[in-house]
Amino acid sequence: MTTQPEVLAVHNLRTHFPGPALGLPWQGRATVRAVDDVSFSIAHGRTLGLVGESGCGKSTVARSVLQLVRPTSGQVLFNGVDLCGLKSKALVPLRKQMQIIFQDPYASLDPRATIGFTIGEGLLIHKLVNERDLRQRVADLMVMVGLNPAFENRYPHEFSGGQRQRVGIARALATNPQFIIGDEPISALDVSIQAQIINLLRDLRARLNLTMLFISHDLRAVRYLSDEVAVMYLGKIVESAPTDLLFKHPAHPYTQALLSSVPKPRWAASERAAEIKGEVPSPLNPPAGCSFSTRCPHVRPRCKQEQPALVEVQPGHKAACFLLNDVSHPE
Amino acid sequence: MSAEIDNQPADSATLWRTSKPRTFWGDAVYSFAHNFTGMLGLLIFVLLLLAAIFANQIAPYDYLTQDWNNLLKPPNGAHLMGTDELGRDVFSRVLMGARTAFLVALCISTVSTTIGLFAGALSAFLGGWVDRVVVWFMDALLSFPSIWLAAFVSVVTRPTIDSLTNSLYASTGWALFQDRVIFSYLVVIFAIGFVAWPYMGRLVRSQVLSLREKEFIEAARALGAGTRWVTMRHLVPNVLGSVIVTFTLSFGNAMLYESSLSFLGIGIQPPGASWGRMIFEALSRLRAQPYLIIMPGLTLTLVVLSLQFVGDALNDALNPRSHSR
Repeated sequence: MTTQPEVLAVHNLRTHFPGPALGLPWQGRATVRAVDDVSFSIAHGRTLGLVGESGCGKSTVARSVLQLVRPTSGQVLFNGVDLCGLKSKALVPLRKQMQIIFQDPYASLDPRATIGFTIGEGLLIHKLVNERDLRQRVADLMVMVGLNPAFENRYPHEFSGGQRQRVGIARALATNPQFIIGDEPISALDVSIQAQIINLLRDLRARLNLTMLFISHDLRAVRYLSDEVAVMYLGKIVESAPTDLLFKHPAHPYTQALLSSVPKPRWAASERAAEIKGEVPSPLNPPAGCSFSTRCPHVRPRCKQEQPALVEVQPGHKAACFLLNDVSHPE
Repeated sequence: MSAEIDNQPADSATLWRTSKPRTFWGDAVYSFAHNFTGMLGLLIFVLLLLAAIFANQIAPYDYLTQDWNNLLKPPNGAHLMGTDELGRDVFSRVLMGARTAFLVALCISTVSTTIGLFAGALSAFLGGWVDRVVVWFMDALLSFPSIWLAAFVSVVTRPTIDSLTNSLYASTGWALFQDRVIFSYLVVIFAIGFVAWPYMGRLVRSQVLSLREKEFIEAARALGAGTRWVTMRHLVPNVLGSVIVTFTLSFGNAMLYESSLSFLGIGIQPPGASWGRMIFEALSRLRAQPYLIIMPGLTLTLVVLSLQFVGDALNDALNPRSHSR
């Protein structure tokens, strides 16, 4: 739907971890299927929102894309280069181009490094600037994210959560990346600060022409920031669509349930849509059929046996559900 | 957007130039220098260290010379700390004891810190069965009462170290290896070093393990940092603080252990001078000549206490959280 080239294209990404031992030593270990066959792509200058409840593999997708965790199989094409095939050494120059903003503004900053060092670290690693320019560049970055450059010599503990997250953003932007992953960058912050950080991300995205993968479980934030949204459940993408379409006409029962859980003002209250019960199944032992079949209000016998493929229900709108083939799309 | 920054300067370029760039180590030195008890401890420690180094020059008498006309004299003008039952000058003996204590403690804490550092880091980095074996070994050592274990090790390894020094003497011909005092030094260093390293090993292992999982390490890797960069710029500054503090405290502990072993008679052997040995020899004269015990005892207390002060100040200095400015 866009003519822009794809910055990131992920094909059939799988990231599995060795799980707990299966009782007896020779039985080996269970496999945690944190990310199981995920595909998506982001065009230049666009933002993809990745939504899902905690533990569904969103953060593992982020780490797999950046090769901080090596995927088990699949392709991560960054400007056409498959990152999975590259050695760690060969990845280093590419890392300038892709950065990540972490969730926890406390754990993601080195407590024994001044924030000036933290922000300039990428520049130092890639030897992009000399000593004098480094301070100027760090000061520029601090102004850009709304920090007073006089604070460059302070340590992380001297800052509030929101300010620390600004440091994290400045660090990610230091090397002028074209692609940024926000791994739940607002979920550890106060609500009032969340709005500031979201607006900051929005401003910076427009100013620096960034391509973004915005990961969150906050649907309002995703709606506000993203051009397209992908919904993840138990390591799989169950639905993806342009933001407006997804929020107006969610096709997958899980998305419908997710959207109905967003608090609405009273005057906008609609009928309570499908409510989901129970817990997310363990990725150690996912259901044989559709991963959502254990909690789906519309579950049918077929759902328990076969895995539904992600099919296009409308141009640009994909969902993985058997119901969509039988029943006509709502509205 | 910048609602939480109340004092955003109009001209951003002016403000940041006013402050010099700060580094972690520079800040640590500044913080330590402004810590009163820390500096006091350092002063006492350095003074005693200098006294130990220049013991030969400072000591008014030879520490072994027996003056039979001046037995058991209380402290006076000629003998600052009095004389013992053989007429030896206690002040000179305390000075020589300081030399022993500092030398042995330095060797012990260096050896145990080095072993602990490598074992802990290796254990954390390699993981798997190496980790399991190292942890098991450290736990086994820590489960013994340490002074008992040190005594046991010193007795058991004595013949081995003896034959080692003998063969070294045979091959090099250096008189050093025939010296019985140096031999007893080696036994004590080995015994206490063997007992002391698991503390450091455990500390380093746990620190490295917890740090490696931190997001800021992942952030550095996402920026393109290699193992070397992560180790030098993130792991070392975060681990070294507690290692230095533990080293300082282990130095004091090593002195206490050396004195304890010597007090029990299995540490430094006569004619070597040791505070623990001096206290042991004077134990029967506790009532009549208490200064024989007080002098070495007080010196030992002073050193260990000063090291505690230094360690405490270092702990504050190496943790930016506790900087007061």
